Amino acid sequence: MFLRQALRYRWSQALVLAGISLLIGTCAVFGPWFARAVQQTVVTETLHGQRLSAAWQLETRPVRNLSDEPPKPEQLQPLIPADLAPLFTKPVLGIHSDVSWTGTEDPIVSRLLWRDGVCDQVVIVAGRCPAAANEVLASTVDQSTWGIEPGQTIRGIGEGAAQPGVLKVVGQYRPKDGTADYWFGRPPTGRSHPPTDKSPGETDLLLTARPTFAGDLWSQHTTLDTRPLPGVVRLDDLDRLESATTASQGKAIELGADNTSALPGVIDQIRHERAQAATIIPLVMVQVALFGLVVLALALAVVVDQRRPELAVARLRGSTARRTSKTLTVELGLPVLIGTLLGAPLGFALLLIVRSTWLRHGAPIELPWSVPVALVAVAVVALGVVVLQVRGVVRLQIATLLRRVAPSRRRAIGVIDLCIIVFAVAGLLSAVGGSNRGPLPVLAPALLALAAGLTFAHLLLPLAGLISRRALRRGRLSLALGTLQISRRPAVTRIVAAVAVAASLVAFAGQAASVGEHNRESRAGYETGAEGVLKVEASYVARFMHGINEVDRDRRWLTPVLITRPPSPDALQTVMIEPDSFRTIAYRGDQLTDLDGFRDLSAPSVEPIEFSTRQLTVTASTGPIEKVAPEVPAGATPPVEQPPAKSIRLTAYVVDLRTGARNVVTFPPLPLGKPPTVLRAPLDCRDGCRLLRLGVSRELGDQGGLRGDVHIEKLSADDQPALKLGRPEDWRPMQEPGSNQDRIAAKPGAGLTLAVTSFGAEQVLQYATAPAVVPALIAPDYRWDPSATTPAFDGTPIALTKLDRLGGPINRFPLHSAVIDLETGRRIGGTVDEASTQFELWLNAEGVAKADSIIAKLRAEGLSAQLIDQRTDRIASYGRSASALALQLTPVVGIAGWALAIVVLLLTVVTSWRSRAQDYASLRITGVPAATTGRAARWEQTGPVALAVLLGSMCGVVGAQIALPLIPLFADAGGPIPLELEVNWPVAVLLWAVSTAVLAAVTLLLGTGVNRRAGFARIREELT
Amino acid sequence: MIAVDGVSVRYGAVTAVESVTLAVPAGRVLAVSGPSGAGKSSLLWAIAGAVAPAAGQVAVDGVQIGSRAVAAAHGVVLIPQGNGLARVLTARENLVVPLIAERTPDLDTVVTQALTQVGLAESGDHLVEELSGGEQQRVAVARGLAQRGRVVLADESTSELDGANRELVLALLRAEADRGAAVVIATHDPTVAETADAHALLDEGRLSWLRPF
Amino acid sequence: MSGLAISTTGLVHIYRAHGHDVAALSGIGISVRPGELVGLLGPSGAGKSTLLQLCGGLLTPSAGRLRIGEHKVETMTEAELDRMRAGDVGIVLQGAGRNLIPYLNPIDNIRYAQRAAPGDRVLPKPAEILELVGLAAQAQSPLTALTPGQIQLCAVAVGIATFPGLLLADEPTSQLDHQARDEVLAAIRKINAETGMTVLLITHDPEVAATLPRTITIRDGRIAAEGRSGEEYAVVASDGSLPLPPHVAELLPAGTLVQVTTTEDGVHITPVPQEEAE
Repeated sequence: MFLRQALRYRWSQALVLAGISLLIGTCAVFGPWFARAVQQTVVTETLHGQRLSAAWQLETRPVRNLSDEPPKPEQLQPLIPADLAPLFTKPVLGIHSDVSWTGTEDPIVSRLLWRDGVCDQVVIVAGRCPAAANEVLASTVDQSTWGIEPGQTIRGIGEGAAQPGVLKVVGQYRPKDGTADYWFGRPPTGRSHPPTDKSPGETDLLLTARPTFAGDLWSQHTTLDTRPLPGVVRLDDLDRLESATTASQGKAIELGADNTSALPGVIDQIRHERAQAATIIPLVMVQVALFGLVVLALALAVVVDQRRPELAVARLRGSTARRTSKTLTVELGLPVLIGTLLGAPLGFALLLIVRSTWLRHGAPIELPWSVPVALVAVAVVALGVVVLQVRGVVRLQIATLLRRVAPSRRRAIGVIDLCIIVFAVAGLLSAVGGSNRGPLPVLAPALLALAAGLTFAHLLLPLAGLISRRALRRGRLSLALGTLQISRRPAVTRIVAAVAVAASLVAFAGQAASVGEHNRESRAGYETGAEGVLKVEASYVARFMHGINEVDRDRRWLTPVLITRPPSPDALQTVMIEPDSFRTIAYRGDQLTDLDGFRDLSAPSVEPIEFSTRQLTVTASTGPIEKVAPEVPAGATPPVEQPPAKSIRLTAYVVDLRTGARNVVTFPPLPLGKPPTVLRAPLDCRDGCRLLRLGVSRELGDQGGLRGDVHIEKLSADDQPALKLGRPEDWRPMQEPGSNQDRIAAKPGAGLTLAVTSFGAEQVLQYATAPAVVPALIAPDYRWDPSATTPAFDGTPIALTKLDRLGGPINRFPLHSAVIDLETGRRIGGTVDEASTQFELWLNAEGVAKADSIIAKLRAEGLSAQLIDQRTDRIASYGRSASALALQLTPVVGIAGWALAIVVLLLTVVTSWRSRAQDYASLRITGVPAATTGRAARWEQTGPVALAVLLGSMCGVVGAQIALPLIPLFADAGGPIPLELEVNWPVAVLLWAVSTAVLAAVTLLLGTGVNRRAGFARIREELT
Repeated sequence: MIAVDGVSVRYGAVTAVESVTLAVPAGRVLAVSGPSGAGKSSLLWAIAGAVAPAAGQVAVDGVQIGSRAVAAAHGVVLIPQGNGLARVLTARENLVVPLIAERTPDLDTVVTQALTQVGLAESGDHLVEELSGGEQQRVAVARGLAQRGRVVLADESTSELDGANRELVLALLRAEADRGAAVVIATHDPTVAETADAHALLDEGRLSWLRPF
Repeated sequence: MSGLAISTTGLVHIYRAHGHDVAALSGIGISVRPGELVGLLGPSGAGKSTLLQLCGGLLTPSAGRLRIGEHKVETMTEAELDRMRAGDVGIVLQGAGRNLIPYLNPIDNIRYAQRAAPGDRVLPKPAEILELVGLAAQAQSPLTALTPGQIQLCAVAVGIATFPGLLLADEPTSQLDHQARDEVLAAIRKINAETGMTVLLITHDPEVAATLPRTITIRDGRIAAEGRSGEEYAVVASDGSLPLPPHVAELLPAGTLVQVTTTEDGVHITPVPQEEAE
């Protein structure tokens, strides 16, 4: 009836109520909306980031019988269900065949390939795009390796084909972008090598036109590549996609094809992230909404209390409690309801902003059912709060309502507060105690702050009383007045609790956001290895090293890393690094190990024995040789008696400096007990070799035990009549499995003297340029045992000794890795097995910036390289993970916390400034200086608030320490890269300072305002 | 000795006091009466320095009163209408705080004595808001007494008191005069005015009638 | 509606303060006829306001009987008390502002006060009420524009918004200057005269009391005296006790033995000297 007047009279209060409700409504709406949008974004981002895993790559097996019609790629298309076709990219069709050259001594293999529109995907540097059958484009790398040029022809025979065919080279291409979606991971390799280096010889792809495959000349694999479209595939499509993938894999087999898609795994991962988004985000928002509801309740309590006189009048005039409460409920419920409902459009606006920034339009605009449900729920709860608060006051007796001041309830130490403290502590304990990684831990800081804040607030009242009495005795008026106000106005407990919770939310938000970001960055760093990674196509370590030395000899921008993988996934892979440049270039490279570790890792600085020659000549003799019998363990059958030893054979292991190949030179037999004999063995070392090992073996079948010395007086090459063989201690025996009774050792003497005990197996000494047992840093996940080995470039095992000096996770290859020195690896040598060896250049930030010029320079050196990984990309990608997006909300929470705390402060001031101003005016008229009352007015709130901020901030930091280990920062729990959850003190201190500044500024302003209004005229106001 | 010389008080366009000239010697009691809005309070406030006169001047013992701070420093005590107590403080604290500001020695004795004089020795530790209107008024009087002013200005200090307490307060104010203070009582109660040594009647801010000392 | 009678017998009200039970009223027996205008006098804390609030159903009696017209107040439920206040009893609390809704003008304040009236009741027009108290000109003025006297008149107008049978007014004239005081008093008299409404008002102003046809003085929770048109009389209580006027009580301190004798011209009380009594 008088609603309009009532609302207009206290419009500012209505506005405050509506404002708080708006915040609550916005949170309630935004939470589920954002969660849904994040889930959609995760779908988009995952499909985008894991293009290859998500792709469908259909490939037929070649038909056995060439008379059968080979399947056409178009025949694979029906495997994509029609209803899902819009979700997939336009399929890329292809046919390829592996062709063996004919008319060459050594085997050479080329892959002949047609792909839809392939000419657009390479740079044609000469000639033209093939159009007719059997026309091909050849790679520029093949020009340097093979001299293939336009106009030439290549003769070859397809797999299982009956007769050879002729391919005509009509042009030359250079690979453009191997990572382009078009290639689906199978771009031109950018490398080729002659069979002299490694057999069979290989060319890069030969690109042809489709008619080439029209006949049955070339056997063929047909391929169809497609992938789900990020941004088109939505949450609701995932189930269908998954079942369609499984179904297509079954159907493909009927067509003689395979679908190698890992899409079901990708979908699994999306589901996992979904679950995170669905729990963390609503919880974070619920936290704000709950805090908002608490503040709403506080505000309502104050507002309702202020209406006591009016309620009294209504009751005085005979309105029943019911009717009075109805009127007031409508008056207060209206702004609350309007505010809450307005939260829907505001939440939507917020979503639109967030969608276009954080989510990069990765989510469609939709209305999940949870949004209206949350809005209705929160509106009902907010109205419930109104009803409860109104009822509490209206039910009072009229006589109580009539009293100007509510009967002092100070002594009844708030049972409600006590309950809240108990509940908060209980909740905290369950959040911490439960081993769940679920959503509860997010609440820990708020609960902690609530418990601590309320406890502190209740201690504050008596404490302030105590201080005020002391201050009064000592005549310190400002302090006394300020503390008196605190101790006599229990509203301060609400302020302190609310401010503590707000500060805690802010501090926690800061920790969660900064620690989360820090971990995403460090994890991205470790996973990338450095700021950026170039993958280099190379076949020879020497050429690779030469190339990078030409580009950056001083290692200002890059460090080389070579990885060789073992055949078994359970065995160690070798990660070869250059310790000095790794330390400065790799991500936290200096933390991989300490200085001693790097020193131990590095190759020994021993002068290598190098030469160029076509043969090796050794002058050697034996000392007295005694016959020995093998030791037989007690009870074992003694072996068959062997005839006496006939001779020994010396062997030399040399590493070709150009190809890295490790060649064995076996000299003719050295007769026993004869004068020095000159022995020769041929060796192709025109480009230079390095002596790695010397060995003693025996003629075939000669297994008679012998023991004695072998003197190598001279070893000569074409360019050096006498190679310097170094000191005897530089020759270390290598343990060969099974040679348990054979012995060899270098000992002092002229030239090089070897003490040998032989039962027929070969004994080898390795020169100290490479340790016989290589020191390595071993990934902690690997169960170390001393017999572990790691593959060299050619896959031969390298014996290892473990350096217990690993300082952190191993960059990029944290699992099953043995980190050894690259130079050591080179010295051990071996022909590079391209299938299992990867050449990488790790770049620092400057290197990434110069990546293009580095790639260009490498190309000039004949090395094709491409940037395959960047830390910033990974950071960005992690930044769009569900967990990161969820944690990104925490700053929003912090700001909401501040806003609500300020609302609480304003409320208390709005409701109490008049009486406080009157109090101060009353004192001033008796002669108390305005400066004194001013100080009291300013600090009576600023003091407790500053303390509450400090307390809350500490709770937030402690809460973060409790909560962060339990909050999933990444989709894959655990992982080889340990989390770094230390407190981010700069952020904590900064936020504490900002919180203090913001809230103290508010209270100081308000206090100053109160004091300014404490004019003498204020006393007269009391009269009316 | 209070000398009010041609004092006018204006609130914006409203004139509360117009050219009032009065003098109250030490040891004497002046009653100022008149209807509500006649300017009694404003005159007292002008003497207390709580409101600046638009014209004229006030002097206490020859010192010109320019502000409340100057007045307070010269022992001008105002017992404001509606008592003007700090509600968040206890009765005793209301007395203590101004005395601390004045650095009064032997504070406790003075306060206890003042509270006892108004019959509220027992109620000293009650919050002001817990006291009845009459009790609050007596606390305000006690606060004035404790300040031992050279000038005591009591503005309607008996309005909410019953007969006995009214007599008590009037006697206490008289005692202040006997101690040597110049006392001014603003009242709308003619019986109170009759007990004073002199009686000034204000009407619409002007001194309309005066019974001199 | 004509005035309602008030009748109390042995009315006691006890409240709790600072951990003690305090008797605000200890056995009050008064009887007010319909249409009477009665002043309640007495020192502060004597129990005047308590008696008024009991009559208005704002407090419930601890013991004794209280009749307002047909209402047996001590037995009524909260809802019944609400209904009584909605129609039959109007209350004007001390402090005019406390009776009014601050954001409503006088006429809306009256409408506000009429809202809860029982449906079968014929309500006076708000303008009529304002006319009665002499505030017709200010009907639409915001309260902040009214003088203290007008605000008090408005409070009285709100108190009689439903033309109740009984008007209870607590210090309606305190803190007003004489002119305003007289206007308010005149309004109350007029209400009493024109509507026959019973009026019970509290005052501590002897001048006001002197103009009232009947006064009841309460001291220490008991009836101390009654006045008729300015003349004070002691009242014999239902238990036969007789409170002495203060100036007599000073002569006869508590515990004094007196001889009560009847003579032709009345009853004499003669203190017995102490030595004689022993």
